[in-house]
Amino acid sequence: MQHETYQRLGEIRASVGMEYGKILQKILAISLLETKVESLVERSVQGIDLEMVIGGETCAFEVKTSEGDTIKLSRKDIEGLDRLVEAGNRAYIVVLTNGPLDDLIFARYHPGEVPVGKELSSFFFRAYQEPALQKRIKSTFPVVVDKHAQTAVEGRQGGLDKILEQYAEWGRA
Amino acid sequence: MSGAPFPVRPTCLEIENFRGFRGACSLDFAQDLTLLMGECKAGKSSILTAIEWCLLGTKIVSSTSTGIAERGDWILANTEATGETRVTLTLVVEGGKGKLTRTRALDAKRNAPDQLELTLPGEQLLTGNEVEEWLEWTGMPNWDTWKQAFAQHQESARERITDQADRSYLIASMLGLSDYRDLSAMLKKVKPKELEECAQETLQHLAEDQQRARQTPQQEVNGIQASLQRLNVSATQAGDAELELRRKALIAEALPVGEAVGLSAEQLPHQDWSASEVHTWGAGWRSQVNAQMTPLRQELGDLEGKIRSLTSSHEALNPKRVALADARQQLEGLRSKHGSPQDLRAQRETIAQELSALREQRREQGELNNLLREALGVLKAGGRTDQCPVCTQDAGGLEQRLQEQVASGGDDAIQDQLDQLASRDSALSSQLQQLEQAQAAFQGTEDSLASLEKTLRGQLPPGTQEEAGVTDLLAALLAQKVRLEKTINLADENLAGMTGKLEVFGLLLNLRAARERAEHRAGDLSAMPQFATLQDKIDEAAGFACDLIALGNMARELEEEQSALQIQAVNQSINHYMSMISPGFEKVVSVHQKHTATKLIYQLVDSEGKNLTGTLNQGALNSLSLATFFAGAQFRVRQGLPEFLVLDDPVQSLDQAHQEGLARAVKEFCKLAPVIVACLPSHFTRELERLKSPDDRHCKVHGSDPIQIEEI
Repeated sequence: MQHETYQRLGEIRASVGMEYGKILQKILAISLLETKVESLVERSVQGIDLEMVIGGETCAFEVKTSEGDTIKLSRKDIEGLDRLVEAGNRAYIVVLTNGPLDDLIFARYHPGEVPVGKELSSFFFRAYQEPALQKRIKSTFPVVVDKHAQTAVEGRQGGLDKILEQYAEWGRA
Repeated sequence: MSGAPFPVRPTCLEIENFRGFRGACSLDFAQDLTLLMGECKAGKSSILTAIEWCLLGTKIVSSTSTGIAERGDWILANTEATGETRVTLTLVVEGGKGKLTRTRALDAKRNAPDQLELTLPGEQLLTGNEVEEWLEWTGMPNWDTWKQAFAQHQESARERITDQADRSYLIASMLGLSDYRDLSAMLKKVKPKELEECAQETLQHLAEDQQRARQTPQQEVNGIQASLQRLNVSATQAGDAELELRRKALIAEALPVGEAVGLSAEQLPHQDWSASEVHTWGAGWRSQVNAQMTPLRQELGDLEGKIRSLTSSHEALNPKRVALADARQQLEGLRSKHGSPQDLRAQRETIAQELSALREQRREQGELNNLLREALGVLKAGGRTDQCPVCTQDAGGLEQRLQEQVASGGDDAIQDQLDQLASRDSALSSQLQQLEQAQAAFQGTEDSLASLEKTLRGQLPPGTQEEAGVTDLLAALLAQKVRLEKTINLADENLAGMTGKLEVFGLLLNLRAARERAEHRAGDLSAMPQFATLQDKIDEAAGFACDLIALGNMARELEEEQSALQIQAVNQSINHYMSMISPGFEKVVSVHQKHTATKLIYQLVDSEGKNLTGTLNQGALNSLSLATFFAGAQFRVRQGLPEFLVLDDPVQSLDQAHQEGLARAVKEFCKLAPVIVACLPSHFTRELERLKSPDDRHCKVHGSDPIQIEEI
């Protein structure tokens, strides 16, 4: 990750506190929408934060952020992801840890391979990363972070929602 | 692991200068059972240790490697030996016999490597690592296997079943899970976690390096921004736009100044110059302008001098003329009053002559008076004042007349005349002085006026009228002065402001460079191809680590599945030997598999699932240890692996019944693989004597120096 992006995210985190996970989820959503997806839906069910349709295929994302260098998935998260895979979807865990050199990782979820309730470093998820997805937002994510950092800090989730609502492909379920 | 085509087994041991053995001796143990009997310190255990050393090397005297504390103090070489230490095992191998020889130099240090040689049929000679690889290939034991399934060490007789790792290893071997265990052990050694830690550490160091690399230019940026802030340029304002504005302004302000002071075109800034070029030019601007200003200032000074001179000459002319007129008038007034100086001087000359005459007269009068006084004196001296003292002629009344003549003298009159003349001379002198002064004043004024007029004429163009010329000239000079002053003021103003402007401009320029450096360094890592390569490598490592973890999980799952299939046979085997060794043992021993987070461990439990090793007495523990030992060896034999048992004093804590049972177990097992037993003479050895068959060999070991082995 570019250092400027890391710094911007740090500033957002410092301002929004506990909301950071949701804020990042929305910034990620904007970044994905900027890459011209067919649809992107924000969901409020366990194990799935975003659902994206691209090339006729549905991808589900569980976004996990951390203040340290590890993240933990709860049993409910895993069960939610399992259900998605059983339903024939591609499921991903989107990981963003807090290192200056850490990048967004889109890790493909394979049932049974992610330990429940265990602190997992980004290293673990690198084994499952999907370069195509990461490449897709590699250039847009820093731009979106830079562009909407102020809105994130001042308008929080509501401010970012207003931006999301400007995209025809955006929806909420 | 078990790729060996033939189960190798040792048949003969040759010992030289090893522990208690000084010189050389040999022991043939090709038979099913070899019993070594002897008292304490006879050297029985040394024979068994010699086999270990030949097969496994110096690790057998390491407490760490063996897990047996007392081994750390062992000395391998005979302390009184004069030659090298050597042990040779004759091995039955495919196609004949081989000789495995381990040699240690006489003066070798404790941890010095041994020499290892293996001669195989066909005179094939292997050395060092080749031998180690050959032993591994044939399935000959490593230390763990040796300890679990080959040798019953008296130092650690019960650890086989009381130590969790040893017990699990042995049972897993019996369950035919050696390959899985080895895979798990290998995966444990590879340590995927270490890969992760290494990757994280590398990234952490890089991040710290980046942070440090960023701090210096960022601190520089902050410092420059603070300086600009002090100069009333805010951080938000201090950007490229501001730099461009100031670049243009500097040029725009400098051009008219440069042109005004007469700089050449090469010395003037150009509109298309970059900020850096303008900054470089600005550094020399002051000296260039000042170089031009020196003659301009000189010129202004001269001009001001001229104006002052002209003005003062012009202004002084009229008063001077008035003064001259006054002086003339005064002079003429004095002349008319006193006459000319020549007249006055003539009068004074006359007076001087009169004075001189009077003074002569007064001198003569004085001389006469002196004679008269002298005559009076003579008269008085002669006592007769009525007779001439010379001619004695009567001179009555002479004295009185003389006195009257002296008294009247005439001096006073002369003096009065003298005073009158002196007074008149003084008056004439004063008048003359006044006239001379007036004359001098007039002359001085006249000269001064003439000089002034000459000067003024010199300043004016030839032929011009005085008044008009002066006015025009002054106007021209003043106009020139104004122009010069304007130029100089413009340049002064520019130079005065330029210092601050150039400072701000330089800071803005430095800020841009510092920001670029900060930006450049910040982007370094994420943009560097080497960093991308590193990320790829870390991704590969992550994939590899995950594969290892997955393999470990698979091995554990397979081990779990396989053990479920084999566990009954192992239970039977252990219970079979246990019933032989400990006929009164009423419990049924079962192998119980237990999961931990990362591995499978095995316990020995009773029929109720209770852990046996925690409740059994020493005799029962020893019996169970031996039972699992035999069971484990039996499984190796069945798998076609090399096997021979070495039992060192196996009767610890065993009563006669158990010793009889152990003898039966030994006799049964030796039909499967050779057994070497070292033991004190006991009920057990007597029972083996009783059960002795023709293929058994019983020897007595004598502890006299050197150790001797005597066949019974």
